[in-house]
Amino acid sequence: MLTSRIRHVVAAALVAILVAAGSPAGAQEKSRMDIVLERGKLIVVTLTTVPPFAFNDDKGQLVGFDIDIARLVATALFKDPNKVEFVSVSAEGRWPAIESGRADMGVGGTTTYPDRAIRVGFTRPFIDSGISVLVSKKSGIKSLKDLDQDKYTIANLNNPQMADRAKRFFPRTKILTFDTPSAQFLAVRSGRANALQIDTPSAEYWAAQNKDEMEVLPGLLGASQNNGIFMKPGDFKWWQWLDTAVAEMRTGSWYPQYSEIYHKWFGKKPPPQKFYLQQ
Amino acid sequence: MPPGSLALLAQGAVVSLLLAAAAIVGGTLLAVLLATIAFARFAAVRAVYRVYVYVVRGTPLLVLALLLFYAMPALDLRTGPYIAGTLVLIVYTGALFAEVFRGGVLAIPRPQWESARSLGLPPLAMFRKIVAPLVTRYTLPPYVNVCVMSVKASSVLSIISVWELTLAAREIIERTFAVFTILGLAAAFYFVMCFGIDRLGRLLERHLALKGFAGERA
Repeated sequence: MLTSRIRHVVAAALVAILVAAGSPAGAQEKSRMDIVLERGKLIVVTLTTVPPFAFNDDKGQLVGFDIDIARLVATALFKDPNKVEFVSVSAEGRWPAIESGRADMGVGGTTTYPDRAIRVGFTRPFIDSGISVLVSKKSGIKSLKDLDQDKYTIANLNNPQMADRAKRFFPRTKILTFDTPSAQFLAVRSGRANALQIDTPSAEYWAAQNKDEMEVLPGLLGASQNNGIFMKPGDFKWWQWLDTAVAEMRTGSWYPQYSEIYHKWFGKKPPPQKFYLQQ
Repeated sequence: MPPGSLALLAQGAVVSLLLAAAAIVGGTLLAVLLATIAFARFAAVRAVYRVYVYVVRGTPLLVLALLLFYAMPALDLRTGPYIAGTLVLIVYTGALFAEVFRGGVLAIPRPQWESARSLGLPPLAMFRKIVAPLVTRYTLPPYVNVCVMSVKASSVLSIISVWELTLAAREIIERTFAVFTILGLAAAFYFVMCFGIDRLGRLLERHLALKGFAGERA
């Protein structure tokens, strides 16, 4: 019979899925640290649509603050900033790239959330961030409070943190959901949305590039945040080395290189890392 | 499996199916109009058909979707993503269906035309009694094929903020990181929908089969 045949096919498909999902990932895995050193090259997963963290410049080259940080990590490993290969993905594609081992680590305006850190490992932050709201000047929105009206639309990324935040700060505002920050930006620019929420440096970068059309609203959505390097959780050796590298960049021996990169992308020195360090 | 994900995926599947249904109905109506234009008396009118089909068929659906989605507000067309998405699908499937119908008309044997004319049938009756029944039977398999494609094509709309099966799956993955389970389930949902349409098409084919005519089983 037709229906029983369908039932068989569906059952077979479900079994295949369950087997694929449930298979253990191998008993004793080699540390990524050793794999990377043997390979002689670092593979980094990144978004390519979050200026000024990671984006393609007018020559089609992948550039940005996070990209330079990844190159600094490669320099620490191989004394060569070019021994790094970038894998570009959409927002939710970052996690499978890490989980499957396609990439050794990831960067790209990625915020360290406690609930995220259950499933993916993070180093300590390499930059402080926050979430700001960018609006089109035409919309006439002047404050975060103004935005909370049902005639306005806000562009989100497809992660639960953005959805929760929108619900908390703008319960009445309509929501559009996109898979890349540049799609959010395009939505505001084309008039699909009146506002978007994104990491403060990205919002400020876009506002600076589009002075006549857009501005960043004063104030942050919630507290300040941290952006870290992420990697597959559970690999102590690899995590420890990456975390140490980030610590050295922000507060130690590699601070001059870090400070130079920071100045290159944000036009100012990083905030003081230690009270006894002068700027 | 992450809790609640099955219900969310099922809701997404319903939206996908509705989008595809709208695309099939709207696309078919558009295609009938287009296919009529394709056989118009004036070359200029026929050219309209050709340009439409070439442009739409020669553009990736992804590009078409982005173009329409971001261009519409500039033209001051205030619509939400669902209307825009449905429109994209109709524009796209319309071109595909039109080519299917045009092929069906071309497949009508010459003697059929001649006998219809010799009976002195007026154009509308000729369309209803001869062209439509024949074209329906000739084109059913490729027509069903495009219907199945439109279900899968609706997944592209996930990038223009249309919350359907694919966007639902991507959101769950972003939250739970359960890539293979969720994508596998989404694929299973798509498969069931496409398989269902395929079976419906076969039933219809059998139902429409005429003795000694196109569609008769050997």
